Amino acid sequence: MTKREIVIQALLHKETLNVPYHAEFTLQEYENMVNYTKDKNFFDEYEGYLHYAQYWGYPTELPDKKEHFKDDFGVTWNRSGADKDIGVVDNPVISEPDISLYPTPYLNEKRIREECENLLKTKGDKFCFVGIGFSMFERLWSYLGMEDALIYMITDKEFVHELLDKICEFNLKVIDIFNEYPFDGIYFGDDWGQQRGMIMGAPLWREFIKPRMAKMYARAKKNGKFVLQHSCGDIQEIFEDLIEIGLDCYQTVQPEIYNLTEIKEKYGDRLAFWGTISTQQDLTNKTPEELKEIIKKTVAIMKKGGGFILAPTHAIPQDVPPENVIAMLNEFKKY
Amino acid sequence: MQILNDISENLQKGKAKVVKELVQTALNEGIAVKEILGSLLDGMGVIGEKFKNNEVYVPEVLVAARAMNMGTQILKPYLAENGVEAVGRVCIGTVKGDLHDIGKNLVKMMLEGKGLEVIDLGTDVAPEAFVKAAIENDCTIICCSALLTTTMGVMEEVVKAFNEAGIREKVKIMIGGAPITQEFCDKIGADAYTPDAATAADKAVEFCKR
Repeated sequence: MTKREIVIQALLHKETLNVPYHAEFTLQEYENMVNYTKDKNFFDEYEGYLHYAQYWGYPTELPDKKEHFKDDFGVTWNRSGADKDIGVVDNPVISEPDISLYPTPYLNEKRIREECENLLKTKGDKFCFVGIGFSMFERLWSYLGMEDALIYMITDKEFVHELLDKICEFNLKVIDIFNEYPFDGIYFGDDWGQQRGMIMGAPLWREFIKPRMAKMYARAKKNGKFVLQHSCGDIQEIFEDLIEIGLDCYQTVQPEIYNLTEIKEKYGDRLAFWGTISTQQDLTNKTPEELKEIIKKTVAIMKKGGGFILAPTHAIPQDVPPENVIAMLNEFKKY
Repeated sequence: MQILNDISENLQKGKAKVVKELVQTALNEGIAVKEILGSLLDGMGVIGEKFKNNEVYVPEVLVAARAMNMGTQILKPYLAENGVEAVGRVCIGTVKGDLHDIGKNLVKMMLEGKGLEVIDLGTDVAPEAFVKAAIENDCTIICCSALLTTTMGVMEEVVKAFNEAGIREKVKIMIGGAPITQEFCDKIGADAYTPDAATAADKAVEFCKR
């Protein structure tokens, strides 16, 4: 079986001989790994099963403001802190709950198509998909600032619905472009969780976010593509909702948050899980030997009946010792 | 008193304008400033409890805190002359290298909701800036926030900086944020870790009473 076929079997909840795995790195950790291994292509040896890229408006560094990146939505991201990959919103683009302030984003169709083509050219035998980062709630707060976005969900509901409709409409155009290519799936990034419970809570998520995610999932599924969703934090409250609107695979699955045995038992035959190896606690704090044991135990819980992609819960941050990364990857290859 | 109940109820619903009007009316009616403030804190206390129990979420806390701010803005000029003092004084900030502020802001709102005075140092706050602010403002507590595993280590430097400045015994150091655990708190020698903003406020009040 090719890697692609193995992932598809896993997503269809069929147990495979090998457990598919994946890993990715923050820019700084990748550099650490290159320095440690003295090999620019150190990861080639471990080649995971997934091949994908995300569209999120191509943030580009401003010529007159170091470490500040502006995206095609008009949002400027300040990356002068420890986080060099995303950053924080520098100033809200929409300063009041007034839909006329919505800046129509630039849809860089040429670049999106080029990236789709490149991705497909380089996929090898992997499961290949494409994604939209900051796909709904995150796009909302990147326009408004987090606090105002949440406040308006209560005080200016109509405005939030209008703005989310515009975000959704834009994303559907991007999905239509993706759908013209033979990808295996479409991935949506949108953080809804906190360490405990959801940021906005399930009722407001159902009111504002769910209907639009349902539309985007349906559009992605039109061509038989798998749908994968990323959210950091604790979103167990809405697993049933996500299954209902057609989600195939949920990514991050932080073990410090979820009881893996419980979620596997309750949802594992209907929702595939991608992640489970903690970047927040274990990869940073454990020894290589302890990590191997953790991975072994995790696989034993999650492997049964397929529906599992073994991976760190996030892009590996720069505080993870390279020895741990190598130990993790070698352990991943065993299953 | 009905109007005080109304202030608390409307605050819980986040009706900022109504709260503002009611506080003004209560003042005009000659109700003691301390009692009016008490009704605002009461409303925020209910929201805090509900937040801890997952009955309300961040948006509800934000609108309630905004309503409370509207009310306290009106009361502010009268607090000192009526002998109403803050429960304690806290300096709060997100540690150096970390620019995230939603968690820190939530804790600030909950602290204010318990009647504490909060000096907000913002984000990307260096250990020495925490020390300086704590001395200048004569704070009982400092609260340090971090979202990233790559910045939480700065909290240990904050503890060291207070030791070196010779004021560690005078100031309680509270820490919080997604990657923080009790184990980490014990390891770096901070005084308290709390898993959510409402619990942080309860802990801060406890420290101020000692």
